[in-house]
This record gives sequence, C-alpha cells and structure tokens, in this order.
Amino acid sequence: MRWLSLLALLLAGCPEPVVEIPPPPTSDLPTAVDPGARTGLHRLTATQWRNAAQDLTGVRWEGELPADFELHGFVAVGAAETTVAPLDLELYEAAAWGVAEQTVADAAARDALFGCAVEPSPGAGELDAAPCVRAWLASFLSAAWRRPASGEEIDRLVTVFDAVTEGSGSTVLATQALVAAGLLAPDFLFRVELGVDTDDPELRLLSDHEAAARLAFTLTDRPPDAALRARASEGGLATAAAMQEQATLALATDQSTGPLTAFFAQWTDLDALWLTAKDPTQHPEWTPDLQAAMATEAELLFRDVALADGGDLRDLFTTRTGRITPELAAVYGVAPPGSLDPVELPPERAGLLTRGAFLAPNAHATLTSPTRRGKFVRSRLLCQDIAPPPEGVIASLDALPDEGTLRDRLEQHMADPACELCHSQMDPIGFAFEHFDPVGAWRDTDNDLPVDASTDLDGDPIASGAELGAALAEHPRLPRCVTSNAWRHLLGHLEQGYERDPLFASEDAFEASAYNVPSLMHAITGTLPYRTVSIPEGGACDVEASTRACATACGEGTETCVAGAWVGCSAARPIEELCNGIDDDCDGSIDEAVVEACTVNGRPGLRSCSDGVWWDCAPVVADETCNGLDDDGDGLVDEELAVDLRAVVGADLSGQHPDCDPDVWTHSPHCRAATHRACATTACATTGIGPVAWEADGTGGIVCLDDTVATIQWTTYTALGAQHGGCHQGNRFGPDCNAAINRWCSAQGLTTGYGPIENSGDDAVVACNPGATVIHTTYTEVSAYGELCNGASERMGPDCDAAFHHYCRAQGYATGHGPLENSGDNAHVACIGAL
Amino acid sequence: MARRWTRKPLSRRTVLKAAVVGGVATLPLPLLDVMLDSTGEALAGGEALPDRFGLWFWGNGVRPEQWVPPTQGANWTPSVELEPLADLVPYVSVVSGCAIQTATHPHHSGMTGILTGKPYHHLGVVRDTIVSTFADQSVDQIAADAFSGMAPFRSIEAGVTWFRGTDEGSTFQHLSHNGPNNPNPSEYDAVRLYERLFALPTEGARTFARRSVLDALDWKGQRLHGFLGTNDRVRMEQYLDSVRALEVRLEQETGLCEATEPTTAYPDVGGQEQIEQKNAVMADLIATALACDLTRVFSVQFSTCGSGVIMWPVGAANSLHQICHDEGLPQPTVHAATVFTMEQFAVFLRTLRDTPEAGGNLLDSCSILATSELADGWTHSNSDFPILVAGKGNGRLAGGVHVRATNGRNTSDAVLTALRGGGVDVASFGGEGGYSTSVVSEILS
Repeated sequence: MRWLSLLALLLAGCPEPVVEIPPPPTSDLPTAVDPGARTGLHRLTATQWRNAAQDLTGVRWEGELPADFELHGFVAVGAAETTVAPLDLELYEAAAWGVAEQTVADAAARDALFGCAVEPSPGAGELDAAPCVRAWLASFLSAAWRRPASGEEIDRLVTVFDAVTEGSGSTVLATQALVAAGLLAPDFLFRVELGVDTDDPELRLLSDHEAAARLAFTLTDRPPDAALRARASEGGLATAAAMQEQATLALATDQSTGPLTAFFAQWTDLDALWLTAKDPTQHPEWTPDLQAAMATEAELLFRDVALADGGDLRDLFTTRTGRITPELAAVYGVAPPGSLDPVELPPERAGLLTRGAFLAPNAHATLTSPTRRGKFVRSRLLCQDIAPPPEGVIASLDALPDEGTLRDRLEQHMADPACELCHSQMDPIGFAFEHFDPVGAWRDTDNDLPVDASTDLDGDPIASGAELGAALAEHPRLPRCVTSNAWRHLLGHLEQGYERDPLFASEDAFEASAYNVPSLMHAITGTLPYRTVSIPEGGACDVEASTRACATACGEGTETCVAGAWVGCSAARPIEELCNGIDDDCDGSIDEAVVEACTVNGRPGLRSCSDGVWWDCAPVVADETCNGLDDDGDGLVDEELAVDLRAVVGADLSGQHPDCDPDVWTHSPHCRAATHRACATTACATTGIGPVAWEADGTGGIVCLDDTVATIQWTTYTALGAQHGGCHQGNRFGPDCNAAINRWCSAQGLTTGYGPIENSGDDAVVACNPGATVIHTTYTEVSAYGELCNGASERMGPDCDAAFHHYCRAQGYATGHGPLENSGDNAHVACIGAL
Repeated sequence: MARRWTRKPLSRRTVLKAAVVGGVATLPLPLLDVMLDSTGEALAGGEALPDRFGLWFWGNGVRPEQWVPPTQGANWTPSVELEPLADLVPYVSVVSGCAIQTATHPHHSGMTGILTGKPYHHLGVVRDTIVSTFADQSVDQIAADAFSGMAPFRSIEAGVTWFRGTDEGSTFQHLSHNGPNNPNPSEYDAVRLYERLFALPTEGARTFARRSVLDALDWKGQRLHGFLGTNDRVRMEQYLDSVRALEVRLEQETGLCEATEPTTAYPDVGGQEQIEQKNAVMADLIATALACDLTRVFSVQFSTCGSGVIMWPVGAANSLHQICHDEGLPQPTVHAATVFTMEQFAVFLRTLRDTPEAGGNLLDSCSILATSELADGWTHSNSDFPILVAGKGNGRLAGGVHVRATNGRNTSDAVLTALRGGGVDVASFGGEGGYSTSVVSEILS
C-alpha cells in the first residue's frame, strides 16, 4: 500500500517531516447511518401515524403500517435512521387512501370538509373551485405538515385537484386525492427538522413549529394540538423556558402516560417476553396469556409507582404491590385475585426484579441464567458494558460439570481467570435470584440441592433478590443510566460527548425531583440539544445565485448562494499579524504580540516588533525542547527528551490530520494519528500520546516519546482480533482495541502499547512501550487525579488521558496512558519514563 | 443511489391484451408457444426469455460434516442433509469449502459477508455482542438494479418463520437491503402478499388519482432533498425511489394474472408455527408472480440470521439459536432442523420446477442463491460455508455439480457466479477483503 511505504520512508530516520501521509480511506458509500448525527428526519412511529391521522381527519386507521424499527433499545433512535422502503411506501399509500376515502366518503362529506362550494352552481360556466379548494388546502396542509404550507406547495396540489377532477369528473375523488397527498408527503411521514439560523454560526435552533412538533410527539405521541400550534405561531418557542412551560402542560395530560410507559417498556426490553421460549413439558404454564400478564404487570407497576404524583422511580425496585392475573398469581404462589386491582405480594416479591418480566426472559428454556440476569442489571439498569467473550470461547453450558447447583457450576467456571474478569461482574448479581425458576416461580432447591441466594453487589452483601432490588434503587449509577436512556428516547440518538453537560444537568434535576420520571423528561426538554438541529454543510440557502451581506472582522462584503450553500464572502479576511506597521488581523492594534525567533551569540533568542521595526534579539533561556538548539544553555542539544511534553497549538495538530480538532481535546483516532505525526516528524521523537491536558486548567499538548520508550510496530486487525475479539475492522478504536494492543505488544515481548496510530483496511500501526511499568489500579484511585475519569462518567477519553498522565507522574514516572485492560472499577495503566 | 426507471412495454402483455375480447381478462399467463420465435429460445419480438434471480436464506448454518456431499463433480451424491434435494440434483449445484474473507464476528460477518461481500457496518454494542447493518446493498438488489424496469415489481421479499431479533440491528432482522439501515422488509402474511401482487386495481379513475398524488410527492421530496444533510439525503432518496417504484407499477398493466387467493395466513396453532404450510403458500405465490412476470427478483427469508425459531416438527422445544449453543455434539436436533429446512427448500424448488414455461419450467430460467450466515452454529465458523446455486439460468448454469473449493476460497466467488448465472453481468461482487472478480466456472455451462 502506498501510504505504508511512505511511512516506512519516514521512520527510516529521515528527518524531513514533509511527506504527506494520506488519512485512512473511508467508504465511498454515502451512509445513512450514524447514531450520533442529529438527524433532520424522524419517521413517525405507527402509533404516532395513527394519532396524527386521527387528529387531522377524525378517522382512526386500524390497518397495517410499516413496523417500527428498534435501534439501541429505542424506537425513537430507529426512527431517526430508518427509511421508507418500497413495501413501506405501499403500506403508507394504502393507509393514506383508506383514511382519505373514509374522510371524504361522498359529496356531502366533501362539502362539510370544505365548508364552501366546490361544484359549480347551476348555470355557472367553468368550474371555479380554486379559491375554495385553495383556502381549505392551506389550513389542511398546515395542520398535516405541522407548519404553514407555502404558496408553491398549495399550487402544486391544486393542480392535482384540477387534474383528477378533469380526468375523472369527480371532485369527491379529487378531494380524497388531496387528503391522501397530505398524508403521504414526507412532511407528514417524517418529523422534519430543518432549523433556523441564529446569530451564532455554530448554533441552529428548531423553528417554532418544529419545536412544537418535537415536544408533542416525544411526550405524547401526538402532533401539536391547537393550543400548542397557537403558541408556536406566537414565536419564541425554542427557548428553555418556553419549551419547559409547554412540556409541563403535555406531561400533565393523560396523553403522556402511554408514551412514558412505552419508554419504560423499551428501556427494560419487555418485548423479550415474546421472544422467550420455555420447555413445554417442564414449564407448561408458559403461555401467551402468562407472557401478556407479565408485560401488563410490569407496565402497570411503572404507571402506578413512577407516574403517580411525585412518584419516585426507585420505588419500582422495592415495592410489593402488583396487579396480577390468575395465571401470574399461580406462578407467584398467591391466591388468584378477582381483578387487576393492586394487591400486596409476599416479601420475596419486592420490586420489579422479583417479577416475571425480568426473571423469565433472562433465563433459558429449562435453566435459570444468573449470567443473563446479572448482565441485564449491569447493562440495562446500571449502563455498565461487559465485553464479549474472548476469541475462541464457546459460550455453552455443556462445558461445565453436571453436579451441583447452577450456581456451583458457574462459580467453578469463574475460577478460570479469562472468564472471571467479566463474569464476576454479572454472575454474582444473578445468584441473588436463584430462588426464582426459569419462569419466575419460587423454588427452594436447584438440582435437588438447596438454593444459596446470598451474594454481593460490588462488595455490599446481599441476601436475596428483594435485597438486590433495594440495593439497586440506591446505586449511584442508576440515576445516570435512567437519564441516558431517557435522553436517547427523547433526542432520538445515542448521547454524544458534546451533550455531556446538559445530560449531567438533567440527571441533577432528576435527583432533585426525588427521581420523578416526568420531571426528568421535563428537565431534558429544557436543554439546548433538545431544541437544536445539526447545521447542514456550508450553511443552507434556498435561492440559487441570490446574494446577501456578509462581514468579517476586517470589513463587509457579499456572499452568494451556490448549490444550497452560502460561499465566497468578498470582505477582506483577517490574517496573522505581521511586523509591517499594519493591523493585519483587524483587531484594532498594529503589530501587537509579533515575536520572532532569532540567534544571538549562537544561542536561541527572541525579538519583538513595534510599528514595523524589529527590536534587538534577546537570548532565551528555556527548558530544553526538541528544536536542535541548546535551549537551556547547558552545552547539550535536545538532551533527555525521551518523554517530552510539548505544548502545541491547534494548527499543529489539525495540520497533521484535518479531522483532529484539538481545541476540543478530542479523543479520536484522527487526533491520535495527528499526535503521532506531529511527534514523528521531529528529530527527537518516534511517536507521541495525546492530546493530553496536563495542566490543572485543562491546557496541555502532546507527549512525544523517543525510541527508548516507544517503538512503532505494524500489525493487522486480524492479529489484534486474536488478542481481543472486540477489536476488528468494524471497531478500530476503543477499549477493546486498547486491550488487544496491550496484549499484542506484550506477546511480542514489548511489555505494552497503545494505538492505533495509523490504520487502513486490515493494517494497523501501533506503538509498543518496551520497559514500561504496567500498574493494576482502579478508577477510584485514578479519579483522584481527574475527577471525571471515575469509570462511570468516563473510562477512556480526554479526561482519562489527563488523569492517567497525572496518576503516573504521581507514581514517579514521566507520563502514562490507559486503560490497557478494564473491567468494573479495575483499570490497568502503562507508566513510562522517569521524572 | 438514484435509480433510473425505464418503462419498457412487455410484449407478452401486448399479445394477451390483443387476445382479450371485451371486459377484464382473467387468462392465466404462461409464456405461450405462440409468443416464442421459431427457435423456441426467444420471444417472438426478439427479446430474450426472462432471467430471474432469487435468494433463499435460512439462519444458524448447518452441520458441516452432514452437509458436504460425499462426491464431487457432476451428478453429486446427496449427503444426509441434502437428501431432500435428491430429485432436484440436476437443478442444484453445491459449492462447499469457501470462507467468508471478512470474518471478524459471529453471525454479523457471515450475514453481511455472504450477502454484500463486505464487512458489516458497525453501529454499536449490546449485551455481549454488537449492533450492525449492511454496509451496502444485498446481492438481490444488485440483480434488481440490472433488471430494473423489466417488470412491475423491482423485487419481492417474502418471509416464512416469524422470529426476528430486535437488538442486534437490521442484519438480524432483514434479508434484502438497499444500503445501511435501509432494508426491504419481508412480507410474512400470505394473504397480504397475494393482495399486493395480484389484487385487481379498481377502475381507472382511482388509479389515475393515485398516480397524480405520487407525482406530486416526487416533486415534494425533491424540494425537501436540497435542505437536508448528507445522511438524510440518502434516506430521502430511498423515499423517492419507493414513490417512483409504485408509480411505475401503477402505469403497467396489472390484474391480468390468475392466482389462487390464500384463505389464511396460517397463524400459529396450539402455540406451534405452521412452518410447512407457510413455506408452501409463499412458494406458490412467488412461482405465480414469476410466471406472470410481476418481478424478476425475489428473496425468501425462511428464517432470520441467528433465528430463534422453534423447530417443533423435529422435536425442538427451544430457540434453534440457543440449541446450537447448548446441544452437545453431534447436535442431533440441529441436524434434524437442517434436514427439515432443506425439505422446505425442496418444496420451493419443486414448485418452480413444476410450473411449466416456454417448453421448460420456471426453474430453468432462475438462478437462486441459497445459503445461511454461518457454516456451523456451534463454533460459529465462517469457513466451509454452505452455498447452493439452484436453477439453470436460461442455460448459463450447468446444474448438478458439486465444487469443493480449497484454501478458504472467497465466498464472493460463488455469489458472483450466481449473479452471472442469472444473467447479471457485473464485473465484480463485494469489496474490501471480500472483493471478487472470479467465478466458480465449474457450475457454469
């Protein structure tokens, strides 16, 4: 590959830093996939479509609609990514015409709809329906598309009306066509969010109507009602205060109950009940009625507990109330109730985790599954990820011996260190539920041996499933996990790094409200991300070749709309200040802060400028840096720079890789590559780590390493994948690859390493750190050097880069990086060099 | 990704329309000898006989030691798992020994690797696995591109067993894809599929009104397109393609085809899925759709990637995927389920074989790729992949040949051969590690 050979040239010791290494090739396929992108199109869910069509026409469509697409646990996330395939469009078309035909069944209905004469009166000449149709269309389309229709849009549909009337002789059919068109347009099928410009070129807010639609659909699964539409028309809706005011109103209605319960059902994956099979001879009680009863019990539990006035979500995990059918009562071993009114269940049934909706889907057909039950709690309720099994492991129970309880067998399994790292995070939680069989009924024995449900949750002793629920309710990670899931549901995408602060603020509000779910939703509606959209590339404009005024710091000019974007502002642009007696950067000062390196008596120096004239060169005494000069005047050039902290400016890194924006201290493969190149292209270094914020105020730079502490190695994702199955071409960067590279370098006898620093296709270039000291520490310890690197807020990322660096320095090393391996609170760190 | 829609008149319809005397025709539409030229190998108007490409997919792989035929070359001897195809050997070639070149993750790599020839598009992680979608269009849509405009339906997607996972992405839910997160969902309900394919349109005015609306939507979608970001433009493009597809269908003559309307969609009975019945009725509907030239491309998702289908006909009481993980070797239930699956595939092929056309039968003109997403559900191996190529491809496919590939040959070679066998003359299939320009020439005539 051409780029690898260029890299080889570079690393052969050639000091010329000018060879351009192309970035790794990206797919040339325009992808409709990026869970992080703030999409502008959210396809209505089936429920939302039915509600919106009914609000518009009064007709309730009960026929088939395209299936909702669940992604990352939520239909709202899928809706932001999914498309309208040919089959989907046919279903929508059938539904649109079905509603249209019921809305305008005959001439009388048509007249009632328009409220004015459509047919020509007797004796009249041409059919003069246009003003009546046009007036009705304006209001109908504005309601259907949830924003005012343009004259052009109305004109286009009037021509449809006229064409169908003329072609068929029936204005009833033509009217149906208009209703169908309104329901089939992308503006109805999708929640369209284009946004509006603001004074800040980095910020694009929802329009008032778009904000109203987002509030209404996300909180009530309905389009905005008349009151909300009127409020939107007044303007100024896309502010925190106005959004929250409307959110309060929406959350106070019954119409929010269903959507909030649907959020709960998706968060806890109640659908799994329908995909779970049990052995019919061992568990004949496992029927569709029982599955439905368990789903209903869970949903009503949420409604009763969390959605009550001032309801506290945590009570969901401790309450003993339940609404159960006779089938479910039999499973729980209680008397069958006469109705679905709430009953008090025995103490062992305290909380959702002791009920069928959790116990049954997270178990096998004939066996329970402590691993699955534990995994559910970790990933769904605490948002803690567990890595996939190591490569080559067959995840089968047959590999375990047959004697003993399932717990005994799993505990033996955990004796293997390769399994223990991850299973110790899951199985102990699941042991607490071993008194509940695969369907959820109580049992005292397993394999004819007494069940032992005593266990611990991260060190805190637990005696039963009910106690684990109580401990979960108090777990510090629970509020963040609920908030993250609510965020995905309301925003329609996975939470992004730049959304961290508003997400944390929403979590604070959730806690302050005593863990009230409607209050959490209310808090999120007040955040900035909830009312912004992404900025289309270049800044959008609609009229080709139109111009508008533009300005820079140096003056005014005009720019032109070309292919949908504003380009070519003619005003003079500020440039870097030069020593020329001119205000080059248009900041009002002349030749300010212009300094230049110079040499005096063979030593490096600096000189400054005033009014176009250079002052004398003054010698500089500075810390030794990699510049071929004797900076500290000790007679040695570039000495002791094995680990060299270099403050860099943004242009240094974005100049090495255009996708690295170090002003955001981005933690990304692009900045990794940029850092590597920034170091490797200088004489004293082989590679580098960074950007790293090594100062208390969050500034820093990059840490260059020379060949005594780092060595470049070429490998492949195939080889890395053999070290950790989660590291591969589909997942090139992240904690799995950190672990894979650590193990790979170790296997080469090079202790540890990091990467990828360059990657393309299957090729991966990593940096190994022979002689580094690998320390097994914990996030708890490391967080003392960087508050946010605590394993909960962050396990790998910019805050952790800084924290690991500081941690290593506190241990007496020059720098460090990590995590190498991580699980739970454990984190392995590589510390490099000496202070 | 915009596709050009051509509107070619179909000479069979022209012939039949001329033969109708008053009223709506309900003539069955076999390819009549009168429509052929003097050689019997082309239509009277000089057009070639229709080529058809199909996909038939089942989840969770096979038992490789029971699948690979014991003999190689022509007239292969069936293995135990291929015994149900014994009477169809002349129509079916087996390619064994190939490997997915881009294998990095169980199920996901195999599914996307065999159907797109590329790695999957990674979306995230869930439980102990990942979420993915296809990085590109699936092989059936490559054929659909090539045959675009030749029939009212660009392609037909049918499903048999209803199990569908929900949290590993579209790779685990859908078979045919137009692109990432852009699947063509399968129709699982035979009654709805019948109505979609064969229901007579109402009188012309309504159809005219429907087309007028679709035309306005095309304009609407184009207007919106310019305001969207890149990702959303791709999604809007798919909406427009779907609008245009329906417009084209409405412009073509339909309703001249006689098909038997299913009276039921075969809901589960006593908690048991009516797998054989659903398989048979879907086979009938697809055969009729092909015979009536409603489509040239079809796919049948018999079971999904990693399917949790309960194979109760062979005594299973649990998810097949789970059994693949739990059952000790030699995995008798998994083996029995594979035999049962091949019996259903045999029913499908026989339905096509037993539908006469142009002096032969439908299967003569088809090239059908039948495969799974794994070789073996126990080890999740992507080597020695199960691949069948059925049909004669209008003479391009030899049929009845077992090729045992060596050295982990690229599965994309076999998929490319299936495309070429169906008359889809693409230079290559797949990309990145799975890229191929080679064919398995032994299965071509």
